[in-house]
Amino acid sequence: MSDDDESEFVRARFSGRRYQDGTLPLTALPELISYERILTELARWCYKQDHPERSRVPKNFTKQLALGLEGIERGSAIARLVRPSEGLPLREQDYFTRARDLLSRAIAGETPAVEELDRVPRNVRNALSKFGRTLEAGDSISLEWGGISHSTYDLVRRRAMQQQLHAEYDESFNEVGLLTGISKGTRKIDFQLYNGTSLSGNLTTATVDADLSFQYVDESRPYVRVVGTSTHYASGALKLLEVEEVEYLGEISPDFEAHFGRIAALEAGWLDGSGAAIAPSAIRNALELTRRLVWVHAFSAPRVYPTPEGGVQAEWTGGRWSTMVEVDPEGDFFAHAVDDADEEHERTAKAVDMNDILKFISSYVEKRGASDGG
Amino acid sequence: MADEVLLTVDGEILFRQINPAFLVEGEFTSQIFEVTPKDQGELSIDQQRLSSAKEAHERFVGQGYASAGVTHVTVGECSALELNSYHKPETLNPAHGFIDFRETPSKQARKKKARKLKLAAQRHGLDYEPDTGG
Repeated sequence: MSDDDESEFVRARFSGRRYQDGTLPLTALPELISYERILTELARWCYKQDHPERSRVPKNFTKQLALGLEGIERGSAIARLVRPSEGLPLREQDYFTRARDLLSRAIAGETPAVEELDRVPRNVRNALSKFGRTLEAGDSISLEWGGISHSTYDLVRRRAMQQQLHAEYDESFNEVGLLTGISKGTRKIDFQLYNGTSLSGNLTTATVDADLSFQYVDESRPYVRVVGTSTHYASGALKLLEVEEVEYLGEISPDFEAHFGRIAALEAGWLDGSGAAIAPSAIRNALELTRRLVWVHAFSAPRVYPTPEGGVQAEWTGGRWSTMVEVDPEGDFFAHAVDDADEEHERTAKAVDMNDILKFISSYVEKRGASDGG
Repeated sequence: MADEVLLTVDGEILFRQINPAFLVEGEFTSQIFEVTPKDQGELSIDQQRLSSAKEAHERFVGQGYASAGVTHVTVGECSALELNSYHKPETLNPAHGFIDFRETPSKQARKKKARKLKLAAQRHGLDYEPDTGG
């Protein structure tokens, strides 16, 4: 089909790990329904703006949109949305095209469109609050037509728009952190994010990993992934609304943890008579860094080696950059990335704060699934 | 102390032993090219023109050291990083030499050079891997 096909209204390009094989998960379909709902409500509002003397839109107004899903194309997963091919109005009278353009310009952050959206009534705001609820970190929906990508909706844009339109809004929740409490009796979970935020949620409909109750008996605060829905408030507060799944993460992999254990057990002199015993702070920070990279940021686990000074060095190869992070015996970080195609091209970072090193690594290490065999 | 003789043939192969702790899943770390304080800036190598990789490994292990295998870089790859290489025979090892980190005092600079040597060695792969009977 060519780009100038009159019935093709928009291509919604879903990008992110879940869409890499060109498949649109059924859980993403509500986004398309929400999108149509927004355009319908926006088109109604636009019409009423132009016709303040009329209390209703014309008969069969919404039938002019009635989007259909004609197919899914690869790259990542592109949903082709079409309109009814007959009876389309003239373009200058087409409130649905106007609504599509207005929404897209607002998503793109164009000031006039953003300000116009500020004036929409509650029903439009409510429709907008549903769009993007299934997005996860790294996901986006690009809105394309006429062969051009006009805007990209991701969690950052969604949050900005929701904060503009609502005192509070909901979005999907999929986070890793420390389990600080779980009660089968009250069906309640307490959970702490990496930034220190403590959250509580109800397990009414949740699937709780069978290993979890066993692991939690000693109150060792195991790492878990909590999936559900959360509410964000204008104050910045976050509330777990509904918990659908609690997954016990256990260990990165048996081989990795065993290897880490062997490094931790090295005694002084392990390097042909030299080589300091590995410092507990280096082990602790290297393990914590790896867990966050693998569980929170979806990177592959690095290869990990002891250093003669008593630190730990993590290395990644296979992408464009060869990257390493050394955790020294004090637990501080030094990172270095070399472009494999041009070794003169290199970057370094020194940090005490793990978050700074996570940012560095994010720039130079490929995520799982970004390349074949990842 | 034996005389040091500067190596000038770019293509000359310099073997380096890999400590078992520095070989994971068949990949070695750049630390095999990092000097430790006891090295005093001289990173030991064996010259291929005086010893095979297998002989170098057996001699090294025979002296009570641990090695999971042998890889190499060339004199040219070292000099591209402004690292000279020298022949410096020892009583028990006539093929001994070293890559000179004495003029690279900064730890970060040494680490960066070691990483680039590792990338070069990684391209060459392992020259010798002992049969561990597995």
